[in-house]
Amino acid sequence: MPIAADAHVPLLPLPPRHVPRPRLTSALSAARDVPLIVISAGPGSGKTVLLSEWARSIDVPIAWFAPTVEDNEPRRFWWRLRSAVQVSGVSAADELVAGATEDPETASFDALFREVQRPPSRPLVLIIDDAHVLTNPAIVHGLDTVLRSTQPHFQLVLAARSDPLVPLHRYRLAGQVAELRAADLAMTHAEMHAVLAAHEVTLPSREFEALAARTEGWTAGVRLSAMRMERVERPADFVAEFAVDQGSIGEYLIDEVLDVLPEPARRILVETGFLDVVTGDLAAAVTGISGCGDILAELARTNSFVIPLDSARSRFRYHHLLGEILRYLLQRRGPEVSKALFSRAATWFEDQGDLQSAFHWAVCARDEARAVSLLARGVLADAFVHGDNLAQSELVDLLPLSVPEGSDDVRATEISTARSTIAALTADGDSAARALDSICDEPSAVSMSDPELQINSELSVLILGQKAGDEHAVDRTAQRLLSIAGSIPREPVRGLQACVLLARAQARFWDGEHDEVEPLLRDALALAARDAPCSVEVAVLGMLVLFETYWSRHVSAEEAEQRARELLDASADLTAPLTLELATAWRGFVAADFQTMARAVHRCLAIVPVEGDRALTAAVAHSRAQLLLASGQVSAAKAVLDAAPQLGPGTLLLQAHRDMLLAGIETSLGRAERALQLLHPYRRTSFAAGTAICAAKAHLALGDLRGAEDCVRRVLAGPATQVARCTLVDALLCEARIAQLRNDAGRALEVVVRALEIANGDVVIPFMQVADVFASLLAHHPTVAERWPGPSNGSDGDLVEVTPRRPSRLLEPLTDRERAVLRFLATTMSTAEIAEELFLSVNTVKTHLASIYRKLAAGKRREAVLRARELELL
Amino acid sequence: MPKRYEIRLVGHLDEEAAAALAYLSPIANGTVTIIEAELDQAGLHGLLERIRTLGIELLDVRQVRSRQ
Repeated sequence: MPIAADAHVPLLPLPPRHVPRPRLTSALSAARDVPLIVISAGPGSGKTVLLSEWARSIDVPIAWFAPTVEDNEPRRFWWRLRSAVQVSGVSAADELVAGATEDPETASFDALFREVQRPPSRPLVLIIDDAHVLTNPAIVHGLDTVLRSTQPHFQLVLAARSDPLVPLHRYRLAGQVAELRAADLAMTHAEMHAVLAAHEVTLPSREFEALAARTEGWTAGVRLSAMRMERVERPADFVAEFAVDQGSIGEYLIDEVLDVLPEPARRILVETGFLDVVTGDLAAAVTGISGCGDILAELARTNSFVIPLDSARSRFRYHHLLGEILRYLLQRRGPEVSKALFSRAATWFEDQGDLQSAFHWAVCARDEARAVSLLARGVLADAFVHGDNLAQSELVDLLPLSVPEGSDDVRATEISTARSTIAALTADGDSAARALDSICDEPSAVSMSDPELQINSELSVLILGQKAGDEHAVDRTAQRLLSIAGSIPREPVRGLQACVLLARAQARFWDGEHDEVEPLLRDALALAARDAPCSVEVAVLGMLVLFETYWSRHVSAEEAEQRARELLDASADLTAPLTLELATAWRGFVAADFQTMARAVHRCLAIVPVEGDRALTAAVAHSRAQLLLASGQVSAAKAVLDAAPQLGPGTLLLQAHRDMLLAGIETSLGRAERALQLLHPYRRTSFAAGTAICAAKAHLALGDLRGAEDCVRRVLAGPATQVARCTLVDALLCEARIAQLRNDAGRALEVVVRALEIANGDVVIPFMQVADVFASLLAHHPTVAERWPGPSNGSDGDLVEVTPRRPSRLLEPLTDRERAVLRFLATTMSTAEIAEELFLSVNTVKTHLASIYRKLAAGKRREAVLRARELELL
Repeated sequence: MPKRYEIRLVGHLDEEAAAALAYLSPIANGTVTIIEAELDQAGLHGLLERIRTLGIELLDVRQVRSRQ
């Protein structure tokens, strides 16, 4: 039985008065053994209709996907393709495509794909219509890979207006492609006769020959001619006229076909041709004609150039040939007519709450008053929440905005707000910094009684702050925004408050002020989950993952990431936020899994905006430099750091991170003195610990064991601010190096073992960096050498044991000193040794131990360690 | 319907472009690279799109007499 009868694949309905083309469908069926079929011919050649007809006739599961320009983006493309395959009910093929979605943007794509070994359970025909929109190299490469790795279980059919970009010549050489081209799709005389007969048109043979010559068998031309001649008394007259017309045949024919439509239908088409998608409601609002929905549905039933987009026939698009002609016809009626229509579309979209579309059509309509008012009240917040960019060209188009004579205060304020909004949105990093300076000088002119305008101007400042990398400005502005938002009953745009909380958390994170980050993010998450677009929740989760990863709290990070991935998987329109990719890069670095890190950095670089958040851009650059350093490319790393954007105030974390990387470079180039100079300013900041380790390495390079030891002590025993586990391991390894240089091999070994215990298998990078330093020590102690971590190859076999579970919180938090003691519990050190390490008395350590056990509800040392790991205190 | 086209590209092809277009045997001629191919409209547009995605600057495209 033909599959289409019971499949869920939504095949396009065959057009009214369809004439079957067995010549072509049997050619397609005959190609069943080649993995690729290409149907490549210009618009109106009947590609889609042919495929619809063929799909109905074959007994093989079919997946049908017609990508649009928006789908020319790897993640979205694979997601939509996977949905299409899912509908076909072929499960293994689904896994196959799912495998391809993992990482389509990198070279590791092929490797990933090879892992999927199970072929689809049944052969599958995957039809991609309009494949010419797929120009993204990652997608083209991915399709090529799918083809090469799945034959003969999988047949891909690409229908396109121009040759698809997969390497066709290779498939041709291998005899693995069947092609139908314009010459094949052109109608034969018999087919033309059949089309005319279906429209009850008979032509004398001379006129028939003239029609064939004029249309060259072009399917759309023949069909349009037949439609035009239907119920016409002397169809031959039409052919005579048509034959001598010198213009484009498509234009001529559609004009002719439109001419015979009843007036309301014709007007609806001409006046809504500028819209990508039309509904009855929208068409009625634009044209003022009632009953548009029914008229459009009727057109879709009788006319193959109005295409229904859903089975209920409530949304439509126009065949692009028709659309082009319609836009041309509208243009001919003069700019004033178009403007009036655009303006009505703007009103409709505004009523629907789609402010960005409303703004777009208001700008197109040159309706400056409405555009300004939209821009000053809500469009900015809408775009900020959704992470959209407003078209720069449209914004600049509005300038210069002058205040018209006789405007009232509100109007004047709206205009100045719109002006500063445009300035913020079109600024680059440097001009953003300058603009921020001038804002500090003159107080905001916004009338305090209008919170909408106030929110808008504060948001502009916040965006300037992010662009300038001035996180103090972001923090201050976010605080003001939150207090304004708190004073009004309803958010102007859903999700705004969550987004502002996120911006604030981010600002504090980059400044190294980490106490408030988590509460801010938790608040943002609660708000986002309640009432905000999904993208906001994903953005907050991304930042949470980054924050938890920074502190090596992998269970919490993984839990948040899992939730984010669930949301991402549920929607094609969401893309993974930069923060999530950056967290993957960081985690990859600590685990010395450079392949994962490289892929993540690569993805970050692909999505980092040109003039966006400077702090994030700098963080990505740092990761890239780190990666280059790990592969020994010191000068390239230095160049990346030098080219990274200038950071403004409030970015201590990033500055410290950069200077630590630079210090490492200086030390490796034999300029340890300069490294120490770079690190000196951080001695009294919250980055004292991390920078002290870098300084210790510089001292070691200078042969200054005393200086190195001082630095290491500062980390291990100094003011016990929380130190990330990676830093702690690094410190211990430095201590071991010092012991080794003092020829105390026993001590060195002891400290190395301690470091291994604390690293617990997931902190790898510090060991990699000193592997050769301890080469002879390890050679003498094979049991320790066995535990010495090596670079991960990216396999996640050992992750199976991790059970992502929300660790409950301690009722009574540990003090800093208790935390310092706790860190050494995971080692084999005795209480006396811990006391010595921390410069404390044995009794003091015992007191700390007692309260640690009490707070962790642990009876023994081992229990306390397990519990602390669970709570991610270790 | 296919016709013969000569497509001229600015400069010499880099490694990636040379590999992608090798099947058309491009010829370097001074500062220009020349490709000749027998193509229908869809084929021509496909090739131009391929050239665009490879980031090569197009100098001109013209129809030439078919070499029988």
